[in-house]
Order: sequence, then C-alpha cells, then structure tokens
Amino acid sequence: MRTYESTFILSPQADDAAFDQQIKAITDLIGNNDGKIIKEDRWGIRRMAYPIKKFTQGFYTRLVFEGNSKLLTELERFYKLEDPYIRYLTIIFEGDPHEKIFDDADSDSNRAPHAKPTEDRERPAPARATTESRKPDNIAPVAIVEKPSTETAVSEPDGKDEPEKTEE
Amino acid sequence: MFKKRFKTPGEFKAAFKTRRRKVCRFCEEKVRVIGFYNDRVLRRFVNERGKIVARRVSGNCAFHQRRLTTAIKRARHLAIMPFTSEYYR
Ligand SMILES: [Zn+2]
Repeated sequence: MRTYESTFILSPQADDAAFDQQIKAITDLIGNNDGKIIKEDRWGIRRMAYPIKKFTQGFYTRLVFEGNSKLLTELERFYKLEDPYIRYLTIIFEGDPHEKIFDDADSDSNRAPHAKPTEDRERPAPARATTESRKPDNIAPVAIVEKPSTETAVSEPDGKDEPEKTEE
Repeated sequence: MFKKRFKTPGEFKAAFKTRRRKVCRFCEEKVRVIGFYNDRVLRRFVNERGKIVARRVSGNCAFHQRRLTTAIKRARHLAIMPFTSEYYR
C-alpha cells in the first residue's frame, strides 16, 4: 500500500449533480479496490491554461488515497473509458497525508515538519554559554544566553549584506 | 572579449563582487515538496513564453530545480500552467 494522489479534470458541460456523480464514481472505484480515500479536494471550475478537447474550462478535483498497483491500473482504465474525464494525473503523494495541505498552497504545508526557524537559532546558544559562564556572577544564565544568541544569529548576516547593498 | 569592458582586473573583480549572491529560494524557505497545484509559486520560475528559467538565472539549487521542473511539467499536463504563452502561439 502506498499513498497516491490523483487529479482529474471533468468536462464543464454538466451540472453540480453530474459532477458529484462523476467524482463519486472515482471514489467508489477506489473504495471497491481496497483503497482508502484520505482527502478529497474540489477546486471547482477553473480556466485552463490551454484548451483540452475544445474546452477552455474544467472542473478540477484532487484526491489523496491509499491503494495498491491493481487499483491504479483500474483507475487508469476507467479514466480512459469514460468521456467526462478530459485529463487526469496520478502520482505518488509526497507530503504528509495528515497535514493540512489544500486550504492554502502557500502555507507551511509544503515545508518539512522538522524545519522550524527556532532550530537554527538554538545552535549558537551553547557556544555563547561557554563564554558567558566565565563570569563569576552568573545569576540567570538561561535568560541571558537566550537573548544575545538570537540577536547575533539575525544581525550577523545583515551586517555582511549591508555593504553589498550600498554598492549596488 | 567580455573583459575588454573593464579597464583593470580590479574593475572586473569588483563587478562580480557587487553582484548579488544568488540563493535557492526553496532552500531559504525550507520547502520540501513543490506541488504542481501551486501555480502561484511555479509561475515565478517561467519566462513570458512559459519556458522554465535556467538554474543559473533563478539561483535554485540542483535538488530544487529538479523538483521544480517536475512540478511545472505536471502542472502543464493538467493545464494549470501553459506549455507556451497564448501571445506567442
Ligand atoms: Zn534548494
């Protein structure tokens, strides 16, 4: 079992009930072939970048699902046979299926879950701690150390960039 | 040939030094997956003709350029991105 995503474009010459039925046909096919739908996202009618089968618009739907290779061949066969599916693409899903991904394409959904900005700033902290600990009166080491470390992490690259910018 | 534009080697060097260092925008943002559906991002990396911009121009790293190319090609297949601009057809 792998996680896949399948996006298809429906012919715009249909009403909402027909779209529902055509999308349901795909989700049913996935369900009937030991697959499991994880996410269904309807983009609705969108203008296409170039005409497909003389249509300038199409109804886009993207499905994320788990399935086996048999399901994929069935799905492919179905798309080819049925007319309303004017274009389709099935690929291996790369993101985290439990992540929220469809609401805003620009959001942190596309980012690695471990990539937090705080991680980078934590690294210079231990180096600072050693220099700081030389002082005999170290009252609150954590509070003192944390602040300058973030400041240096931010200000250092800025200082290097500044002369370059003025030259430009 | 190009060096003739600069009178001294220092001038030549300076011209390159002042040029902005290019960094991969995807590395900067720590992007892992470049989605084909994200056409707002993809459109920034094609020219007016719809051609994918070279790595040396955009400053992308090899890893992300490869991912970006795949994403743009997938987007073209689904008519999210154009193969070529309407204007030039
Ligand atoms: Zn990169």
